[in-house]
Amino acid sequence: MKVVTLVLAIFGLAFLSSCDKENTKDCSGENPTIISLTSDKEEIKFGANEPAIIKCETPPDENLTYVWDVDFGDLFVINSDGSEVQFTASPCCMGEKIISCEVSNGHCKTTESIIITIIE
Amino acid sequence: MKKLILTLFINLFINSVSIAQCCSAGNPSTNNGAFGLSKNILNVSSSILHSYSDSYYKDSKPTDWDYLKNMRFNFAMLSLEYGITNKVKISSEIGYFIDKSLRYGFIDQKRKAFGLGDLVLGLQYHMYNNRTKMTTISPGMKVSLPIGAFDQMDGNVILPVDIQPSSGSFKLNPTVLITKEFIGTKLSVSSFLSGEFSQRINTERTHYKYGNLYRANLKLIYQSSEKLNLGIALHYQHRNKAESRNEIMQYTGGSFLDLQPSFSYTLKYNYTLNTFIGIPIYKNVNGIQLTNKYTLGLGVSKSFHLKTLKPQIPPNIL
Repeated sequence: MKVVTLVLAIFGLAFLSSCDKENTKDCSGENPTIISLTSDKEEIKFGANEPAIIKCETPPDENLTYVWDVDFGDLFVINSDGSEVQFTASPCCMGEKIISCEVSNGHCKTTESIIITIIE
Repeated sequence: MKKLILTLFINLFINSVSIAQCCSAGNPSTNNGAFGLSKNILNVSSSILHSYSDSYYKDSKPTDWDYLKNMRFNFAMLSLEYGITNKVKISSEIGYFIDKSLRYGFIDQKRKAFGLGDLVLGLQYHMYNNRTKMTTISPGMKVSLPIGAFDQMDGNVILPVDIQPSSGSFKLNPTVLITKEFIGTKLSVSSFLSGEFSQRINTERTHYKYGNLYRANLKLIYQSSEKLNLGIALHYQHRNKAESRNEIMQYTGGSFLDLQPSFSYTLKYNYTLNTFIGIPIYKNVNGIQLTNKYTLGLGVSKSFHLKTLKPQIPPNIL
């Protein structure tokens, strides 16, 4: 029974412990600048008929890379440098979605977010 | 020896799978229920699961909604089970998504993920054994640890949570396995009940909680010969609605009933081949959701006695 108790205790500790996966940002240069993060719509219906177009505007720089993120929903890059995306969502994803654009110059990163609401 | 054969047979043959519906990441939920694995016996099994989903349902009826064209995965899994005593068994399960992908219906694009899923650790206790009634009851507990990939990207886009290989969440799975054999027949029945309770994911990216999952599996097993076993199971599952940022996601969760024919065949050198197919026969989803069309599973397993490191069943009796 000691083995059982020990294993159960390990399970309990594992389940209760939290697991935040926050990014660590090591930066040894100048942060890239995001001039604006804009969307043509604040609210879209679920489905593919009314996508939102989101633009991450930065000063001209060929070395910038863009990484887009949303927890639920679908982002499609629609221009060559990756600074514009189209956002749609399936029915599962209704509600407020936080879409973030992370811009990197190879050394440092800057992130901006925008909220778009998915409705029925 | 005969008892051992039956034990292994129940152990391996009850393998079935619940396929993740909308907004469920991580390993497909297996209900690898087992009882009576004897002390010092290690059972190793390896399997491949394939799942394909292409039909949208609104409530309990098909709908011509067209957002995702299809969603599929190929999942390789390795399971280990070990009898600490004749009554207590521990298990572990780890899997790798070879291909987890979805294709859109409105745009010619697809998303693909691959990588390690969750690690599942389990404990099962052989609580009740009535030799007269040939009935056993074995409760257990499993915990899923999100050790796998949860930040995979496709080009410039981090993939959404529902296609990531790992669930990103700790999960607790209480289980109960009940088995019943019948004197003078080659039939046995098993029932496997389980729940799945997920910890809320609280990261910079998401605040999300999977809906609780409740499953019930009723299986009829027929021992056709010493080598061949046939089974048919009804598998019911109900998933509650998920929560995102403390709001209920209305179009998640639902109830599903699958028919799962299966067979198990003992090969040379004590290897056992297991296979099954999952066919949905009833679906009732909340709102509109993409639902599973079929599931296939194929696996090989073998048992060892760790003290002798020899197969528990000598090949010459097979």
